[in-house]
Amino acid sequence: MEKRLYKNYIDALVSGDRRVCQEVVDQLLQEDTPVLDIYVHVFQQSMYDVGRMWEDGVISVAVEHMATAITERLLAMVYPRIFQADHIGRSAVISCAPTELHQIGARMVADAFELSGWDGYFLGANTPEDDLFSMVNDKNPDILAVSVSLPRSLGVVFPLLDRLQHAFPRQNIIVGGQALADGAVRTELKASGVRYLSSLEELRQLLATF
Amino acid sequence: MNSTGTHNFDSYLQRHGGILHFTLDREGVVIETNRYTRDFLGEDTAGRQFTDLLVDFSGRFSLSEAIKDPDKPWRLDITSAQGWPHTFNVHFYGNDTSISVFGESDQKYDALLQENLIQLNTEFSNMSRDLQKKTAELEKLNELKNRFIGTAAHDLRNPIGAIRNLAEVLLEDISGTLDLEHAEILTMIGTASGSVLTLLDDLLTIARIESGKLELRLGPHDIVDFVRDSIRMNRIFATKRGVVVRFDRFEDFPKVVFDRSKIDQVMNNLLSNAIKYSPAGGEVVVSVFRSGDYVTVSVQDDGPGIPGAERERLFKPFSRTSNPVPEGESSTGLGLAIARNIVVGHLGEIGITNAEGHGSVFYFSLPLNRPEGDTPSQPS
Repeated sequence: MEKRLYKNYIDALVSGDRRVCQEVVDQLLQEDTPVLDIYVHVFQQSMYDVGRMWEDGVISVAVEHMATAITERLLAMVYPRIFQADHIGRSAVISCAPTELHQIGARMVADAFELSGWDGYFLGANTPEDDLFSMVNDKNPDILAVSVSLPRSLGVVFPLLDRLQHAFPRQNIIVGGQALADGAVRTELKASGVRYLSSLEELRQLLATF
Repeated sequence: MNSTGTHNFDSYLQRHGGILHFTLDREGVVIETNRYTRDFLGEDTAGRQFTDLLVDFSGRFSLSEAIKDPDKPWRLDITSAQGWPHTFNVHFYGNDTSISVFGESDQKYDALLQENLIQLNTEFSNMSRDLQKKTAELEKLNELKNRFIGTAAHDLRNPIGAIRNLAEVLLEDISGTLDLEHAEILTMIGTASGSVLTLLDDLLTIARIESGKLELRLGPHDIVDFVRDSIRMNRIFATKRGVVVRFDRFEDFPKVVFDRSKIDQVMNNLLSNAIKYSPAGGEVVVSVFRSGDYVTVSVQDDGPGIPGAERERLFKPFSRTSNPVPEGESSTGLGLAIARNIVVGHLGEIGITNAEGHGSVFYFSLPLNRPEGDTPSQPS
């Protein structure tokens, strides 16, 4: 994606100029940019950048929330393309960790499943554990994906993964999210037998061979 | 605070302070504002009445009351340059010549508002996602249904057509050798298979239209001649039912661009329904007239009329009126749905109104200035 276009987008995003953001996404759609590219190079990248700006004190938490809200609305612009994909009879349940309020990454993962022809059942932010267990029980998904954005959610995620593996021993479980970027955490995950995916592209590759 | 401190604080408020600061004259007109106020309101408000800046539907605010007690905060809503009302806790300090106004953002409520808006946005976005996913699934199922109906109707059409033709052949060839009962059975086979054929044809048409395959062969036609031909074609049926069809009024029109065979289907539907539901001795009146940039064809029947609540749904597939179908007649419930799709495909309009006294007036309009090579619009 053109650097100048991305700069327009991110500048508009942190200034709350939703119209300019819409125009950028609209231009990319008109140019037939692959949907996953828009997700990775615009939505995902900008959310990472906004997160970094917040960590560095460049923007306030209110601006971070506003940028997230705008991004959530922009995702809807791409949905007509996402949900057109022919379904291949596979399904996934995508959930945020309990107490995790950042849902946008998980939603993008759910959309990436849809793009690959899967049914992506998205449970939203701060999913109560009972709801998650009952959804897995009802849908019997081919993959269960759990998203963890903030490191403080890690404390509840590992016990949750244990309980899920105990309750559904044959269930394929993948996890992802910024909180898992740390090497030590990933080692712990590896030991638990849960697969960590670092990007939407890795997810696409996994689904292509699943 | 000493006088230097006061001066510095005042200077800070004017240039950098995160609170609203207005200086008003005793009449409440804004004389001066600080930078924050100008940024917030997006303009210099000097010269405006302070009360005009407030969102005060109840009219409870009174400047003269407010300056009586400077320690009493007033919770006031002021609309930002972006058009959003924000709540401020405002204090008023009056002296003989002016009034100083200081407003601090109500952060507790702002934070609450922000949390709620974010939560609502998230819920709305998730609902929107679910809705779009379900819509896409329903569209796919609808397409599957159309394909199924199309295939089934197409495959059934040939054998049913053969049954009807063979029944007719048998009736013609051996009618002399059949007793009355057997001849009647053959007639019933012919009539029933004919009805099924009509239903299959309608189903095929609806399935084609709903799949976005409404193909129009547009060409310029004389609309008055066209309507006259349609009336002529339906006159035999009208005579059989004892109904008179009258071409009431028409004016001269330029050629109108439409698909003759498709609009003929619409015209036949409206006319045959009007004849079907009019009593023996009744009259059906057809009119052609201009309505703005459209030409309108109306068909008024002498029947019982359509109750208001039924009119809109009448144009949906498989809907019928509460009026009983006249004896000896049948209805697939698809004719008007097909007619609606054809007319909408012509960028026209179709509808129904009550006739004066009794009966109904069905009408359809076609654009007068449609270019011949225009692309048909796909009905929703």
